[in-house]
Amino acid sequence: VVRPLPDRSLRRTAIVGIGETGFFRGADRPPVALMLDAAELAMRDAGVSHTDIDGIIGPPGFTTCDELAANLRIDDVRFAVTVHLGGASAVGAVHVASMAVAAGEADCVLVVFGWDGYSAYRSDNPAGRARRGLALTAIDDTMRELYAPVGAHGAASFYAWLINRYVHEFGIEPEHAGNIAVTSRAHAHLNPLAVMANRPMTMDDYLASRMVAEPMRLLDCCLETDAAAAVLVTSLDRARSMSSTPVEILGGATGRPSPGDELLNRHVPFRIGLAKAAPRAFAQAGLLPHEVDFLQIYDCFTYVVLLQLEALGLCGQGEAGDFAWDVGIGRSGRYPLNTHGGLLSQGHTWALNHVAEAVRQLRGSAGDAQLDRADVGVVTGWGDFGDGSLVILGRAA
Amino acid sequence: MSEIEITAPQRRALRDDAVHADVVRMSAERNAPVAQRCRACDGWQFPPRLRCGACGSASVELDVVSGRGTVWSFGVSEHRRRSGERTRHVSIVVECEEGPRLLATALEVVPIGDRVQMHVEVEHGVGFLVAVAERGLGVASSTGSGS
Repeated sequence: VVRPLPDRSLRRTAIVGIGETGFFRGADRPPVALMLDAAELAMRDAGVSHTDIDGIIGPPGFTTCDELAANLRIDDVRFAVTVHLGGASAVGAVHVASMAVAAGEADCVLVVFGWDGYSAYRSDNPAGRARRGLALTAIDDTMRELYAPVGAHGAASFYAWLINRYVHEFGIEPEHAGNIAVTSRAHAHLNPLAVMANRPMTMDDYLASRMVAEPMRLLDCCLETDAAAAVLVTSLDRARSMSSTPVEILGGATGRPSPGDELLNRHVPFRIGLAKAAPRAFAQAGLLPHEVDFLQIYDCFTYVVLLQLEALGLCGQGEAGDFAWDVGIGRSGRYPLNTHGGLLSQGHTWALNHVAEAVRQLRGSAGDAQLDRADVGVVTGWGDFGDGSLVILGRAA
Repeated sequence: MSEIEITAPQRRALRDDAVHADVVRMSAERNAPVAQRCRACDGWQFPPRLRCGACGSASVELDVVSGRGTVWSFGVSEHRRRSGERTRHVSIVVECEEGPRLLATALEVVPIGDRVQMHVEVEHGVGFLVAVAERGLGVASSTGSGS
């Protein structure tokens, strides 16, 4: 296997601050208010002020760079973009922020994502539905006009077409997916921030949960929460002078399936965006997939985690279910997975909560969830119809 | 197995700003499933786009397909309405003989690999595709059942 040397002609980059709000099932404030809280927590964690920040990447919707900058008193935004990768946008944004800092386009970029993932789907919450939602794109036309008329209202329903084919081709068993759900729930018990911190789950519970979109049960589906999270990205040199322990961004990439504007007519059905992105990111990091110590995998649905384990290159196509059983994805396994509980059992901030957990693990500040070996970890994002993103993070040498 | 009866999803009229209005209107008018064909390379694609995904030509147009095909995948969705009522819908991904994969509703789960025939039911001026297993039409399956 060829291991290309990382390009060190650019500046090395690091995450220096993380901030997370609580995870609410019915927040009393709109998403942008939660995002401002998360941003201020990240700034406090890093020990920086508003004058230090010169770049902003927010979510594709809900707010704008201008609104965030005005409220945070950021005077000179040198760099601002919006990443459109659906749920993969947040992890993709960390990668883009790293690119901007590495290239010298910005010195300190705020990545902040938040939403009303619970309240948007309900009318009986204190704040009501936020007036501003996700930015509409071509895939909304596909979902609304082509998928909804056959009864597929929502991600579980239309991902089920891909997953049923996956189950059919590779003989995936419900317990393979259940292993992801049960493991994530066990990890949530060590995380006081997790919505499901005190709600034990067994494989029998999983198998008994009601079907939502065959083969996906209720407990295959992530939590719906109102929440926000933020990270600050700067150069590694600058990070070393700050009060927090820096975590280096060793590599990152994004990728899209082809075609990416719908799910069903792909040349290679299971070649998701992450399968294209992962080799690029690992080459940049000068690492092989099996060299990571832990996995923070975007887990909107358990079966999507299986697809991503394969796309990362940890195992062959159709092998992820058995792979996870064999190597172990619990805290004592070879590849501890979503040590904070993930979207399935902690809450949902577009996997920026996965980035925050990876940073805690690499800093050695994960509390009861701290792993014995945590030098390198990978965080992935999954969005829309299989868009992918990842960053590879390491303890700063 | 769920005890909720399988029903057809609620059929709605087109929104004024529908991007794919031509597809469902043509289905209704021609009483046949519709996909997009490229005049330059003779390939099919779905959903319709401004350019052919295979050759890049802008010379693309809607055309009817036979409606015969094989089940590529399926979905069974269960929904809870605010009223408490629970519904169960089946969708079928049909790989058409012509190539593209289209979506249809069905009143039963048809296994992957089985052959189906799609027909059109018109409401609100929209053509809704419904898939029926060939065995249900008195035709023996040639490929056997999948899952």
